Amino acid sequence: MSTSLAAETRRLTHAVATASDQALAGIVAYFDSMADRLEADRLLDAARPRLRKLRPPRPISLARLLFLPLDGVIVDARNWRRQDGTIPRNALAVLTEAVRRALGADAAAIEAGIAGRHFADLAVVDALGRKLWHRAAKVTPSLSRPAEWEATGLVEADYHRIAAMAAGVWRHAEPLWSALLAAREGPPEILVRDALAAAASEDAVVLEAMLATILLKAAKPGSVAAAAAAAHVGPPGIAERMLDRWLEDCAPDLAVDDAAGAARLAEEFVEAIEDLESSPAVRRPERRQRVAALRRQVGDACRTTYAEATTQSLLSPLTHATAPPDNAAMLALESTARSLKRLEVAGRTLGGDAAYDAALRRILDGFGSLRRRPGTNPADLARLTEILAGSEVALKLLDAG
Amino acid sequence: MIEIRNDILERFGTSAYQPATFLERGVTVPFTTPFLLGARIRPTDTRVGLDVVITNPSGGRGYYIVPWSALTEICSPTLHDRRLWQRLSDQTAIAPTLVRETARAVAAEGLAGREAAAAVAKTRNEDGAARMRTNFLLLLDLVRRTETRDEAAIPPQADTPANIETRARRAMARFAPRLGVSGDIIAAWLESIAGAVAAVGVPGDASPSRMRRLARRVATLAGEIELWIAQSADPTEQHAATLVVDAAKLTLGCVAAAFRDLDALLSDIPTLLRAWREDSTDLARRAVRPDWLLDGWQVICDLWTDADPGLRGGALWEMALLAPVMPREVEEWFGIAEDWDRPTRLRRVVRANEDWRTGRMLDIVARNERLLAKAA
Repeated sequence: MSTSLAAETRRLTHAVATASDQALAGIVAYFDSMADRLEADRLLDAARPRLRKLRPPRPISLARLLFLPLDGVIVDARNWRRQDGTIPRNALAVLTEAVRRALGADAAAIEAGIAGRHFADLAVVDALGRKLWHRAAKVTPSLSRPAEWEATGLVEADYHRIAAMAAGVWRHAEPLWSALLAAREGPPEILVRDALAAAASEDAVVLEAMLATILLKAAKPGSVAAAAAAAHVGPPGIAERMLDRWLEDCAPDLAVDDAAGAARLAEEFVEAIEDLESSPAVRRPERRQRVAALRRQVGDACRTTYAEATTQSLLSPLTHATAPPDNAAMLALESTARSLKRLEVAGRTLGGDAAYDAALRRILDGFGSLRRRPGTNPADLARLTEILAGSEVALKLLDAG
Repeated sequence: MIEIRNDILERFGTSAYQPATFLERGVTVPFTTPFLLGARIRPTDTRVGLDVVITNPSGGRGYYIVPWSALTEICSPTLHDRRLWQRLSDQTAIAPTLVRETARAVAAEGLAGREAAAAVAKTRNEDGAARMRTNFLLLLDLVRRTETRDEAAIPPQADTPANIETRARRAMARFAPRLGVSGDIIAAWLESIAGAVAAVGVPGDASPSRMRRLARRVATLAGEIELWIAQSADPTEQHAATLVVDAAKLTLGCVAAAFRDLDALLSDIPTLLRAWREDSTDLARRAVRPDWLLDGWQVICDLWTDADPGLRGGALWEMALLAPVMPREVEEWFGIAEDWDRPTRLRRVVRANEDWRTGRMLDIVARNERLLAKAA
């Protein structure tokens, strides 16, 4: 890469990383429409943590659908290490192109089916995903290294290793997909066992990739690891190893400016932690310590986010407003308050009641001051108080006059 | 946040709720607290104070009949419901109109959200317009029945506003002596009658009244549920659906009888005015019958329309729990005979509704506030 091109890339990466949420969503939509995503993916790497929070509706692309069963092992190129059994993101486009060429008319038909669709269209993902994975599993073993592979910076041996792993996962994508579909219910032990048992004869790296993907989407990672261990498939310790990796990658990154997202994430973490704490897969002291550390981390994140978000998203807008909020603004404030209540309820199960009590007191004191300010609508404050602290407290504020 | 004190609540459980009169059945209060959705209030047996009749959502004994004063001990009502509870505590003569007006006043304060407050303002305007339109239609009927053939060359409804006013004054002045009162008294009586019957409407009114619109919604609901039954394979869900349809059809039959009765009265204004002079309470009593009959159905219809079409099976359980019991008093009102034990027998096997026990109470409160905005 020439010096000027590298400088331009750095400038673009910085621009993407610092774009506003709205602009970032627009950039993602534009990148999603590009035929060649290789450069786009590089530019987006710096903004991925924010993208996870924003969750813009992602259109189904052939690459994303193809690698959905391998989601658990896809990493940013700069974090990729050969020995980890992962796939660097910058290899996806090249591999997809090779599969697309090999599938010919089949790939074209699938692309026509997913055009304009999003991952929320589960029926489309289900029908065309199964077809794609089945076909890709058949053609990939006989593919030779594509010429574009060099541009990824990976060596030929990496290609063969990654292609073999991907083909192995695609061969068993049917039972894996069944488990992923039920991920919010655990997934149930039987689905985890079935998926791994189907791939029992595959290389360990295939089993690890499947398990990593299940863990990534699972509501109950402890139960998944326990089910995987009980299945006795693959080399010993595989379930614990993947669970440890899951724990290492866990980042309770709750967004202060996205109360609904923070609440959802907090609830998911609480469910996962409670499951981990009761799982036989977390018997060993060092793993117990990791889970305890995760509990502390998530608890801290919930408390901090709650305290900051109640001030930033509720008290500040009302304090700085020159007139009562209009209907749309009030609906948004109530919706935020409901999300923050969910965050509080989830967070309190991890401890630290006093911090929530203090934050709540601070907000209610703020509402009390606003109540006395001329032009304030007491009903608005009472509604928000009711959501955060209950109706009795709200009635007192309302009648405080 | 909205916990139920089951230890206290269980003291009020009963299966003996087969009201003989509409007053005993009570009036639905538009509470937003999930546990209280569709609850009714009625005078106590001693007529001192109020009871709240709450359908048992857990599938146990049929109902809880809770003294009004104990309501805040057994659950933590929403802010809106606490205020409504305060306002209704002072009331003695319970009727659908009174509960509706009290609830509107509370919702207008914004305690169930901006949407509900705006809906109240809109509905009050609509009710005012309905009263004026009814008064006008009553006057037109009086004009038609008191004018000579020559005077009626132009039908009154087709005349200019100024001429209509002149003809109305002449009609009242002409008719007043027959009742031994002044034209102004006739005008006042017509205004009172309009106020009493605006909610049910008068024959010939092109805009359907509030009660007739609700009756149509119930009929549409029954039709849609029957279609749903035909397409549903689950017999347990069909059971709840059938219960709602049966209750709706019974109600519609009675409401049709009430409308026929009122339409006959309101089709001859001179006769009605004579009757009003003798006993104004008779018309008032008959005019509120549709309101009593349809009481409770608004929330049932709204539950159905608010539910995602794919999740209506769940909504039907909630609707089945709230399906009103028909009091035997309708026999006296319209001579309608029914198997009075049937609804209770069906209701006993309605499946438990667990929603109010889940952690999504705030979402259910928000849903109930949406329903309130629709019902204002």
